[in-house]
Amino acid sequence: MRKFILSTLLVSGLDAATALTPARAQAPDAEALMKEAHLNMYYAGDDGSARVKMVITDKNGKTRERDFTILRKDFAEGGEQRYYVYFYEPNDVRRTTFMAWKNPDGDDSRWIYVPSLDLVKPLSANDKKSSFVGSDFAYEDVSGRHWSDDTHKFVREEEKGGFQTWVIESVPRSGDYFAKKVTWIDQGSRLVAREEYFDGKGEVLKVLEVTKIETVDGHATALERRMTTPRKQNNTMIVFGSIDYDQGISADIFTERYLKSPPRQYVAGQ
Amino acid sequence: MKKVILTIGAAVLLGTAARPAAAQFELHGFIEAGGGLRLQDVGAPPAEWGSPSVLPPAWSGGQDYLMREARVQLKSDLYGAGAEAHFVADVLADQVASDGTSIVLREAWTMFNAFGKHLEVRAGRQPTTWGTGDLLFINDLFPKDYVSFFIGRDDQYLKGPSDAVRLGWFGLPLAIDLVYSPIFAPNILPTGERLVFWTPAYAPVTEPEQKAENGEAALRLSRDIGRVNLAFYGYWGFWKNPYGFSPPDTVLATGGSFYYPQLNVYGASVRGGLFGGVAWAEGGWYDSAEDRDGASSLVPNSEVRAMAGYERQWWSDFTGGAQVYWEGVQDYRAGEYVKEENHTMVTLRLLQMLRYQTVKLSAFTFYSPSDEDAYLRLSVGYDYTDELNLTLGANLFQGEDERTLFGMNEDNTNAYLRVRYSF
Repeated sequence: MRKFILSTLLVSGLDAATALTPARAQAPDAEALMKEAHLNMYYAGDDGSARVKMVITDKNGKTRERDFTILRKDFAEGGEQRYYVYFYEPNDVRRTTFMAWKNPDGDDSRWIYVPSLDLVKPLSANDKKSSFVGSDFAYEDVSGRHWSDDTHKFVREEEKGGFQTWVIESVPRSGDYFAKKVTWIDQGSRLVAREEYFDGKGEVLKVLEVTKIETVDGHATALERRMTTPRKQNNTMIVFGSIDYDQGISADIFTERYLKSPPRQYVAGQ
Repeated sequence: MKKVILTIGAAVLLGTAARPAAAQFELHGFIEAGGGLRLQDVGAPPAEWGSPSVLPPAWSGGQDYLMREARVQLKSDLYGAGAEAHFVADVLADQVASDGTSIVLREAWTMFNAFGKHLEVRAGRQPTTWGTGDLLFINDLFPKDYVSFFIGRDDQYLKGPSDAVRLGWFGLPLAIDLVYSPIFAPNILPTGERLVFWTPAYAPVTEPEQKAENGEAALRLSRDIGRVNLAFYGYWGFWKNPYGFSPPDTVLATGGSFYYPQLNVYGASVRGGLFGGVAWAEGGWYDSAEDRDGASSLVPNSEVRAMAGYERQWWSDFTGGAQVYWEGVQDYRAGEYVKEENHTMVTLRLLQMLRYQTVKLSAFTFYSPSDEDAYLRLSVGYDYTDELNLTLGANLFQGEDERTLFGMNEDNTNAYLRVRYSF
């Protein structure tokens, strides 16, 4: 963490210095920044695993918790990815597994395995904004919205949430559930520090805040993320732990066999 | 996290003084209370039965409750270096069933890999499911509990466990699954204890003798081709429902009884993404081995069964799906059967989740154009917390003919409420 604050300061210091020179008058390439942030955020390494704790808080302050291990393997940088999720909590879904094959060029494929029935059920996956396990994170927020789905415009630089950021406004290329998105990219880690989604009337639909960034195995990683849905006064905090990158997770982990029989080298028993 | 951690002084509990190790394991499960009421008056027993000396209680008018039970389910998972074991047991206090309180071992199986992880072995009591249908089964001949299904117990109770050895072989172009159950496990069907039913005669059911050749074997070969799964199936065992009839024997002085005739099934399925949803198709040949030419009226004829379905998310947290299903009886002779030559069914599933998926509204409809009967399953589930869940539901049956599947259940129409605490 300290390293990052340091590098943030360093980079922003350099920016401040170079901003005075005429060459800096040219705005940063918004699309290139969004692509870089997306790849850093969702494609770090060739594969990754983490133990994830999720706390969903409703408007009355009532909380629900999710605890799962997530595995990811990239097949192409910025392209196809596969995800595997094993649930420990809540108890009624204990040992349930979930698998998604993300296909940026078309529909994803998703499956859930219900151990009490030994049932593998494919889930239809055309709606990317459906809630992931009842949280404020939509499926699309878990694996990231692809930068090529929107057009991007650099707006300004500013300090936000303790990060020195580039601010970028994005508009969906074709009709979507939001009209505009504003992204704050941390200049130090080149990760997304904050995102706000707006509807057509300019009202905030949801807000993503990254509250903790650390370097793990050489990859800057957003360890704590909060998604808030202001309209419903609901928010979800995600904390990533036990992160490992580039373990050489093999492709066959992301198949029905391991959906039914979780791979114990990556998934803890309890 | 309501974790029940039991620290056991192994020396004390196991009676061995080997080492003072403390074994730590977790115990999870739930406590559930359920009540369900019959919403119809029960009519007369089937006219075909004449006047049997003793009628099951469902007809006696004393069974307004179809569910009145409390249940504790305990689950434990053990993980060793090269193997794992899973246990699920239900302690059930059932005030409708005649046997009252019982302990039901639902799962007790171990799993390990061999031959460089190519072979996966699962042995013991376990649920097994395969095939593509949504509450319709063609190549899945693993035992099902339709009593639990019809009275509104949790979905997991539709699957009865089977005592089986399950071998999976991976690494070839086709994944191979073989399930062998040494003891035939039939479907659990209404017996008159709580649910009324119809059969052509009032007679007991006999199960196959428990000997080696009366086991069941099921095979699946499957392969993913891109995002499409293709599978082939085989089954060698018995009809899962007692469709055969042994007539009374005057010489041996035995009464007539229903039994489970031999059955082999061969089939295939395909499932994959289509137009943003999931589409599937499955078919099977039911080879009624005891009556291949359809000559006997006491054993079911062979059948062809097929279905196709489609499901997609139509808007956020709303899923809708439909299936069409067909059973075609081979060598059909009118009058031999109650069953139509072509039995058809359509199903419709609607599921809406609300309030961050804490509220689930579900409707599943079976409608048979050929039998002119229907079954509507309605439920509202509410997760008050992660631990506390309420389910209110109804099972509505309709049919003019008391001999059809849903028609015979018309007087079993019920509504139920279940409250569950998970730990």
